[in-house]
Amino acid sequence: MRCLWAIFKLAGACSRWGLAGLKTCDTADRNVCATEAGVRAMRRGCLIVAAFFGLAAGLFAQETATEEGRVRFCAVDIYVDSKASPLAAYQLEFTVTNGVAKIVGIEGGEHVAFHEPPFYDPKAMQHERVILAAFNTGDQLPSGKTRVATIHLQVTNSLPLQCELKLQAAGNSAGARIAAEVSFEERKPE
Amino acid sequence: MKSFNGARAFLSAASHKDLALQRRKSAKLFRSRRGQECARSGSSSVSGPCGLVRRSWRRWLLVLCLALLSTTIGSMVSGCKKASPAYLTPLPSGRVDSAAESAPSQDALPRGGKPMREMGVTEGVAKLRPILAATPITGEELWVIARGSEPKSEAPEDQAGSGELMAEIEGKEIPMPLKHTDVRVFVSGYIGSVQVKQQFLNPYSSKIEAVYVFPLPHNAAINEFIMTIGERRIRGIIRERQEAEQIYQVAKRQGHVASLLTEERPNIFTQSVANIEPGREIDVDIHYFQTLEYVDGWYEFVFPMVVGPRFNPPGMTAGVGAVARGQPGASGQSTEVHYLKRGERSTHDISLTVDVDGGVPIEELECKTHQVTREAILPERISVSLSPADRLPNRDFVLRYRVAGEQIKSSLLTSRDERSGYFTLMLYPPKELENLGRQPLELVFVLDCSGSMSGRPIREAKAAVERGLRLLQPGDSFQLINFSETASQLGPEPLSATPQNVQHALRYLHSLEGEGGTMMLEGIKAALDFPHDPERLRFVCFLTDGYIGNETEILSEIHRRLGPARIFSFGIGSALNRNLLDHMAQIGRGAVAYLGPHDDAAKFMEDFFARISHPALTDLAIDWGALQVAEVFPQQLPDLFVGRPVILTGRITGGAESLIRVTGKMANGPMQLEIPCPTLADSTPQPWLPSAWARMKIAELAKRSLYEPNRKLPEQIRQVALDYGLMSAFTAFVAVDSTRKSAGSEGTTVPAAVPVPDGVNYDTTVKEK
Repeated sequence: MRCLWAIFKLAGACSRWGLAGLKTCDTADRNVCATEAGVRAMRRGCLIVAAFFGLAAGLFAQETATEEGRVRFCAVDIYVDSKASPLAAYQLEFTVTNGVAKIVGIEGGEHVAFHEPPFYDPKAMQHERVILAAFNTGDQLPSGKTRVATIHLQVTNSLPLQCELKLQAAGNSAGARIAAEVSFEERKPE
Repeated sequence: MKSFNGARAFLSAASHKDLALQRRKSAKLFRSRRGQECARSGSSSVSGPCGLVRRSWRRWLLVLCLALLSTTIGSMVSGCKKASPAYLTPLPSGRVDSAAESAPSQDALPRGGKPMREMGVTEGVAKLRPILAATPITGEELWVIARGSEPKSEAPEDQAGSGELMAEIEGKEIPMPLKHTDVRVFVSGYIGSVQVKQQFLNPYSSKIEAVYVFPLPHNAAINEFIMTIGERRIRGIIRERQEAEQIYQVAKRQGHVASLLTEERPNIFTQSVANIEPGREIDVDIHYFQTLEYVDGWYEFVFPMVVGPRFNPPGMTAGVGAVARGQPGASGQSTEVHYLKRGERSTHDISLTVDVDGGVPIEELECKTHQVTREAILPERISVSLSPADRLPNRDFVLRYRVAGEQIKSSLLTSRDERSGYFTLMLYPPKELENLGRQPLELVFVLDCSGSMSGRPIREAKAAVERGLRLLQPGDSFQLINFSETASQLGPEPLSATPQNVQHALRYLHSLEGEGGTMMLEGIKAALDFPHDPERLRFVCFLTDGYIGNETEILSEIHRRLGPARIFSFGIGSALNRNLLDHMAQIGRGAVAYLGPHDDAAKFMEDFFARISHPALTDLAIDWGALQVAEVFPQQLPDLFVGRPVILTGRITGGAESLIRVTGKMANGPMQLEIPCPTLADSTPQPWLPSAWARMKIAELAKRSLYEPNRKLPEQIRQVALDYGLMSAFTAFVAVDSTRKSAGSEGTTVPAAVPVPDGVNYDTTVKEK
């Protein structure tokens, strides 16, 4: 009702603006002219109000669209380089440091030993920090640089994605720690 | 002008040149008509009435165009990828004849095809028929002047993506987006680890979003969710529900393959898979832990396969509606289960394997609900598989097994992880209870006579009540209440169990039939409101399938009106609402039992009488000794009945090895049980135990929210679920494949239709427009 009242007031204001045209009318035609001008002014007012709402709706839709347009999805590949040692287990921590992304999926690696998607710590996930861990006791283990996981992200801002990756542990099939390096790379969209 | 609907607007196939020519022609025509009108009025002044009208027309048109243009720009920016075709054409296959093959593809439709939301398939022949009268036809031009920015705002039947595959079927299979469900179960002791694989396949020629409403056990601790696309497996992330839904919606609109799992009820879930391209398959794996029931020496594993059609009281919108396939929105409920009509069958089938490790030799194993094949690997290990001839998912799968030797004893199991120590305590009633007589009873039978019970279920329920009436002893009293739309009863107060009164009750019982709605609330009021006879133990026995959508209201009412009564809920049917029935018994401090289609109703009631004929150990209290425990669930300790253990789960915060003492009251005095407690250091890791404890805590908090107006409870549930990575009403699993976007719009939503449960009457339960 308030909205209707506001529209009515606005239309009235526009009508008053429209009635300014009366000054140019002759006295004899004043009554006819007044009626015509009033109707015209009212219509003009209504037209302006309608145009205003149309534009507002459009702008609102554009704003929502722009917000959603800024959201994108991307994938970050995680690599572990165990040099010459076969990699049997790893635990690493991946963090989105500038808070512009949410983790929306975790995929396994390229080597058959780490093809299954790794497990994550649900408590850490609440802070967009993911602690990934996987192990394989089989004979076929990767060595050198291998992609062990892919993290799928929803980036909610136009700012560039900033991430941090720390290796917590890497081990061989005997359960001994091995030296390894970790790196990540944002995958180019297909 | 239905075809101007935003979601269905299509660009004209005509060239821009043709359009411009047409617009010029239209302008000329308008100018010439305007000139004629002005000549007729004898006026050429723009300030005269004719001029005013002309001006107004122009201005109105200008404003309209402005408004529509701005809206269109906005929606194009936000949703140029949103247009959702409501066309579904099955992919050509061996079953589809030339008529179907010649059906226009999605790409071809804007030029000359008719939008189809319905596909008829009769005797293996696919027929396409239009559903809207005002749809673009060959050669007709459509100029897009607006496109809806939010398809959800449309009427349910016109929702973008709500186009449903329709079929006219006479005993034929219908292609559905859900192809197959594979269930693998590993049972060890009383813990089941269950892996459910749902295989979604797009059998149509355009992209779809598949939506499947399905059941899982209400005590399932769902802790894993993986989406598989080809060889790639993406682990889903547990998130706050609203956040997960938003992520899914954005991914869907942007064309990414995504999946979302949400909980509608503790035993009803919705699986949504977006942007399945034609002919492609996407699998979703769900994993959960579940505790098995243990009754009278038998372990019982249950896997529900279909959600039964629920009745929702008038005015309710948050229920679970039962609608006919192809009629979304017919129930007006927030969640809808789509049912196949009579004579229809979907292409969806199920395979199930259960590997049982009893620890000690398995003496007996039975499955009355399905045909199974079994393979004994070792004396203590048996593998059971669903027979290929029995793969229609229209009833609960129930497997029971019994191990050799003495019945189990009370025991404690502990485990520790980085968060805490956990325990589960199984309290088993002592054998002494079996030798004692019982007190006089006041038995109230409450019979569900609603439409969903018509046919076999009501016959079974009546047979069970009849047997119960005949088993009453002279000192007992009874009452018989039936409810559907309203409740009515045998008399104003309980009758003595005299032969005359029993005969009178039997005549009344035989006159009852199943029809109408399920106003269970009326039955509860009638059963719990009349004065209690303190000389007798009041047992209220509900015989129902539990097909209602207002569970919260029912459980809250039971809690409010219970008084000294004990509630025994008896599930009658093939695919029951076990969540409701279990909670009724839990809140009512009684027990639950299920009467399947292949069970003997008389034997079922005799077992019940055997149980209540022994006194229960009531008012249980536990002295934990030197063990420090916290958050033990259930918080309200139930009575201990012969043959039915009570399982408690909690956290260990410290302390040392000691004896746990359980005390309780019996008819002839107090009783005490002693249970040795192993140290945490000695305990074997039990990976399921933290999840099971967290699930019990969620269930307890949800139960408290029924009768406790505490706004913090939902937040507490959400936090426990997030900390332990579990599904709940306030959390959801979401998985997005961000590496690739599919072409085109987000696709049409296709709900997977399911059969009505075995023995349930379609006509009396499913809503059709």
